[in-house]
Amino acid sequence: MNAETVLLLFQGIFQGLLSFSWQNAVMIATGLLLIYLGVRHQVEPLLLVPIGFGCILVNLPLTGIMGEEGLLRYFYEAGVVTEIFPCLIFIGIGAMTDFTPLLQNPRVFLLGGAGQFGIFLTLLLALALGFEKVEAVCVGIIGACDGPTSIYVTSQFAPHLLGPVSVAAYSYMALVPVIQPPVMRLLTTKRERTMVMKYYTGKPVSRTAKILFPLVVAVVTIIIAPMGAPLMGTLMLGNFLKECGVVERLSRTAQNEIANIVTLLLGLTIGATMNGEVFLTTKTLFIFLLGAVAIAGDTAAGVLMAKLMNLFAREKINPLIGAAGISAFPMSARVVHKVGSEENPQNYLLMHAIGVNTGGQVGSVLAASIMLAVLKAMGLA
Amino acid sequence: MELSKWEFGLYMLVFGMGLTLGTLYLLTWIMRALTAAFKPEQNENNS
Repeated sequence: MNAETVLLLFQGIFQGLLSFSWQNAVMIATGLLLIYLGVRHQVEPLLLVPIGFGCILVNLPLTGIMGEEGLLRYFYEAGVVTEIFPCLIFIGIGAMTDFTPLLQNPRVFLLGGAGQFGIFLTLLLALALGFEKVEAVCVGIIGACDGPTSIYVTSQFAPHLLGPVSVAAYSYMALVPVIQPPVMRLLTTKRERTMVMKYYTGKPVSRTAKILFPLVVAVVTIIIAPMGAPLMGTLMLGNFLKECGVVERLSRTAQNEIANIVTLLLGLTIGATMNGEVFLTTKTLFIFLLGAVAIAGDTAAGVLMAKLMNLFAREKINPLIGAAGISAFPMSARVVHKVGSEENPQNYLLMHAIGVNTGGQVGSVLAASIMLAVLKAMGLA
Repeated sequence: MELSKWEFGLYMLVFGMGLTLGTLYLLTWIMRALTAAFKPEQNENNS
């Protein structure tokens, strides 16, 4: 064996090491950080753990796992490119959501709309920072505070931003208890925060109304924004399975098996889009900065809308509940309740905030559907 | 329709936010009508 053969042999053995770049190292560290946050601090562990693992796998050199015939590429093509994964997750979310508090106090639905303002504010800021139009839409959608919606929209319009947008969306959902309270306190007076609201728990809602709710919402919203049919249709299908009461097996399967399997595969494939060379750009940094602005904007708009409604309503509402008009369910409602009870221990805002929060879930899907409809009208979709 | 970035952003803000709020406002009335039309029966167990 001559020296040249030995050299070739060593090169073959250490090819992986030679192909390892600093970007791969940074992304492996990022993957480890996501896993650490998920495992140690239980920050959205169902998503951050598979995302972190996928991120590590794709940044190990020469695995080909996201290559043309790689395992994760198959999952990506089958579930993300086709948008099947986010829609399946929505069936699960719909089956897990109880809209009764919203039906008990329908006027708070408007707060779920105001809570989407962050989407549009962030879109404008993204345009100012040099993002292309459809890229700005995908960055703005982080303000929906809704992972599947962000993935659905971004995979259609800016698949190259899927990794940063998804990770930002899920990370900021976990950071809602940190971002929301200062904004809520800044925009309300002590008197407003201590306002006690009438408790609606006893207000009855018939089973028929609960069954008809998902059907009516699906029909009305899809007529207005047909391009959002996959999102709203699956969300309301899941809720219908829950409320109709005759397909309990399907409802349980949607809530458990389907949601769990898809969450795992979705997380892994999102992680697999986080290749160092694609992920480590200035745009990623901007996306993370804008994500925080989006949620702060949602919170501010929700609180201000509640104050506006109080100018006209006979029965006043505590403006804090406006902050729950985002899709981070039930975390945002809990944050509102906590801030309210810190100000006045007699104040029990949880059920009111849950109603607004479920309104925020519908509102975020609706806002995304309407954005798709407007993009189509402009010839961009 | 070719719009500048700012025109695009403004259109999205006005139409996006306006239609979202408008649709939700419509839904609040539909929900009021639903709950008024279908009141729970006496033996119905409500949460």
